[in-house]
Amino acid sequence: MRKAVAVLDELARRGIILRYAVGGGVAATFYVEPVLTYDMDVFVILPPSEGALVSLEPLYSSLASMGFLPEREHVVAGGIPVQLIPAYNDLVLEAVDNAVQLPLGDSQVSVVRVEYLVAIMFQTGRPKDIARAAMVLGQAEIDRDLLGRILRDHGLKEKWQERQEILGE
Amino acid sequence: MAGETRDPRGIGVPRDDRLTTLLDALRQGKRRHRKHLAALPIEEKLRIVVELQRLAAEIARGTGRPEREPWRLDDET
Repeated sequence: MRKAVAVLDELARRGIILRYAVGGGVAATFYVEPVLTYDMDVFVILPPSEGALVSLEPLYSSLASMGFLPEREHVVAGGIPVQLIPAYNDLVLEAVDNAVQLPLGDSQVSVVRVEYLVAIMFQTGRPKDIARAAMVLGQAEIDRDLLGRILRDHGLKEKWQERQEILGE
Repeated sequence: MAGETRDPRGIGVPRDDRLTTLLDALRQGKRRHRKHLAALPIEEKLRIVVELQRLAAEIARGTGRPEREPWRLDDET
């Protein structure tokens, strides 16, 4: 994973991405027991670009110049398939902006804060995301005030209250 | 053993308090183990993730479902 993080840091150093934060199952694994996952999801904030569409071309060109060629929807770095996902809504943007630096060996990695991770899982809403959200809620230390604020700000509070039982709340 | 309880289908079954005590102990043990796993360093957790992937691949192979390749960590995680 250190190699994957080194690649992300290099992309940021080159200005290809502005910021990043690890999300998904790998992020959950920082906070709770290890969870079965196959990709390292990384939310990235790209620099502003011209044109109507967001292009990942500069990102993939840079990765290729570093020797990392895309395989389907990801690149493999340090043996881990890494999927780079442009921050796709306000919640994810805010999650990247409020990411925490967590230790990885003698370095650090930017990881989505646990309260945002739960909110993103809940917003994504697939059965596996809801199951993971319940697991994180049951095992991790959660700032309940912050989680409540995030859910409220992103229009998720009502849905959350409807599904409290499933979430084990 | 005392009284009656209902199984998930709503059918009445005799309640065995000894069994309840045993199940409570098992649940507590599981909770302790999860807490222990959650507290491991991330490097160790990632190694466990790979073990989970290997296990899932073996099960998939055995049941004829498509298997996904486990990570091949090539550094110190």
